[in-house]
Amino acid sequence: MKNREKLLEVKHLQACFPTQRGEVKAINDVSFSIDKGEIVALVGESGSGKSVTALSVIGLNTPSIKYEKNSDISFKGKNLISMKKKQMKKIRGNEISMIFQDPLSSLNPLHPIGRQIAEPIQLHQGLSYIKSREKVIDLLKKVGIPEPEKRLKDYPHQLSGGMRQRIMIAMALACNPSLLIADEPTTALDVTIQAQILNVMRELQKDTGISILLITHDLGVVAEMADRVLVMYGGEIVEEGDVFSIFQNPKHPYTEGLLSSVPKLRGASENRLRTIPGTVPNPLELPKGCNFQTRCSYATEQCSDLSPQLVSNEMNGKVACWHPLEKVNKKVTNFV
Amino acid sequence: MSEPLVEIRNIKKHYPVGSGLFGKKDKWLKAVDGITLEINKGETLGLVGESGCGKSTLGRIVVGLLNPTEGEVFFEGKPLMGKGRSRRELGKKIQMIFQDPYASLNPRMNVSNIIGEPLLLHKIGTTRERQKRVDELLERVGLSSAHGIRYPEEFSGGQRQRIGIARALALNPQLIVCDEPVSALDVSIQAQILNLLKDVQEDRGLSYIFIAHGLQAVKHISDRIVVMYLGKVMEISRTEDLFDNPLHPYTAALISAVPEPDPTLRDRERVLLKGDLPSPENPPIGCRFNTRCPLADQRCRQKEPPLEEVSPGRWAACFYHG
Repeated sequence: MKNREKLLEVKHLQACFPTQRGEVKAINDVSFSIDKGEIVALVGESGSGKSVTALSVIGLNTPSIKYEKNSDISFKGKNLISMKKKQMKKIRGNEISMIFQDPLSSLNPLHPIGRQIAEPIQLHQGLSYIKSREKVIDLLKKVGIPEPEKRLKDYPHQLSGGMRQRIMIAMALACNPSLLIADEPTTALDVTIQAQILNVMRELQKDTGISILLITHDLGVVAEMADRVLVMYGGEIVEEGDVFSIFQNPKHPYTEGLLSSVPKLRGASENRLRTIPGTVPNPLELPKGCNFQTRCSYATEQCSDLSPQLVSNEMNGKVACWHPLEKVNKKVTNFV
Repeated sequence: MSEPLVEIRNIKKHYPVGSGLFGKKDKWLKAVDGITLEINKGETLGLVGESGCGKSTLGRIVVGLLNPTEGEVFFEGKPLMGKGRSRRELGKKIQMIFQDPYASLNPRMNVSNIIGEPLLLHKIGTTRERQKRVDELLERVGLSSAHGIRYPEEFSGGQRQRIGIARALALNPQLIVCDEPVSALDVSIQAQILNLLKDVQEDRGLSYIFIAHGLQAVKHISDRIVVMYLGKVMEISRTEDLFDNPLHPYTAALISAVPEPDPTLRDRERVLLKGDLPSPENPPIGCRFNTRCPLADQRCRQKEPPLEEVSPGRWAACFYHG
């Protein structure tokens, strides 16, 4: 393993949004850390708070968001939450950068891509476009764009979805950041293109040793990319662990449910898929106690009284559940 | 099982591109370019392919939402469209479920009216009978009759898709075209909807055309799978055969590209395709897949391989099929 040096540490992150129907708690006491050179996947369904968590790290949440007082995000020893906007701007795109789901709406349609990739270099390193041109060409080569010299003057609309995502990655890596946040980077792409982009990300991670926070709902992407996995549900982290133990031996009933509801591509098809009954709870009306109790087949009275804390287990992971699953449970696949 | 319910014969759909109001229509986008298929009674036929392969266009032609440029669709041996047959007549036999459960339900109608509308349009039953049927349908898809007075905005994505399924079932069709019915839903909800579709099929002996870009869902639900690429069929096989032993190099690449939810397989050998999908406006000459195919040679760049029966029930359009 790599030497474990913490790059980012999030502690007791708690945030809410004021809405017309009252305050919505988007994330509740989220704590995790990312080591240098590590790929951490943040998994969850819509509304689980994974994007809000990621946007908090890079300071891009809507200004109306309210952080709880003891929320703390420390990056290389600096607290990002209490940081002034001006200081944050020096970090964003320089030390922490981000790529988004939809590369078309995150690129400026009016500027050629060469200039857009050069922008962070100009901004953070004070180089002129002419001087940064070599570097831009080099970046385009790294992300696998053929004939980069000819592409510099292309506009985003002239490129395909996969090419645009490559441009986004080149732009994000322009200043050699130490943390890349990738929010559903391949969700909008076709499968064969997705495989290409994941490959580019894997190669670049190996070459540069960058840390990646990968946000996705696709468990296949998680299994292929991540070193460690954080599972979110209803604004909380319900399970954390290294990728192998999460997939082979999930402890939280929600993780187990998610894993078994994905149809498998290898082996014979199961006649019926296992499902998690019900839907994600409304963040305005979260139940007392454990957020997952209404959909959980193991729930007891204890679960509706008290919400479980995220505690370490013997597998070097953490789980927030009163009745974590035993190892044997995974083997007995009883189809409901 | 072997009696064809629907026959699709040499369907083409071409759109003019780059022509002004009075401009000459000399460039054509060939969205669907000569497809022949059969769908049997009680069968689920999966249509897979990446964006621009024409799978949705083909689905819409079968439902009658689009008219083909060329070719015909036969339903139980009779032409689907033509003299004396209206689109509305068709609705009793073929229905559709759409990808986006938010856009496909009228926000100003309550759920009862949405599901009952097909019955009303076909003047089936009295008001009371229709209401009873709507309540039955709601319960069939896992909602309660109390949901009938509510409006679409009050439902989650998964519940809306259930409403869409209830509406499609209202007229007791024999075929439902499902266009990416689970792509917009969360993982745990996708499984619920796939199970519901299977249950309904067992109840009523329905046939499905299941269109999706995600291979996992298609594998789970389909009996046979059709792989499309830029408006043409590349391969037709029974589901197990397709996954065990893909004939076409494109099928092999598609299967290999799907990320496996199993970290122990992360270092497996993958077929990584080079380059991008060509534009359907300007497909490659010869085999359409030749620009990205690992096996392509001179012959593939000159001649288009025909779709041939390789072994009983397995078709492939490749000179070098596996």
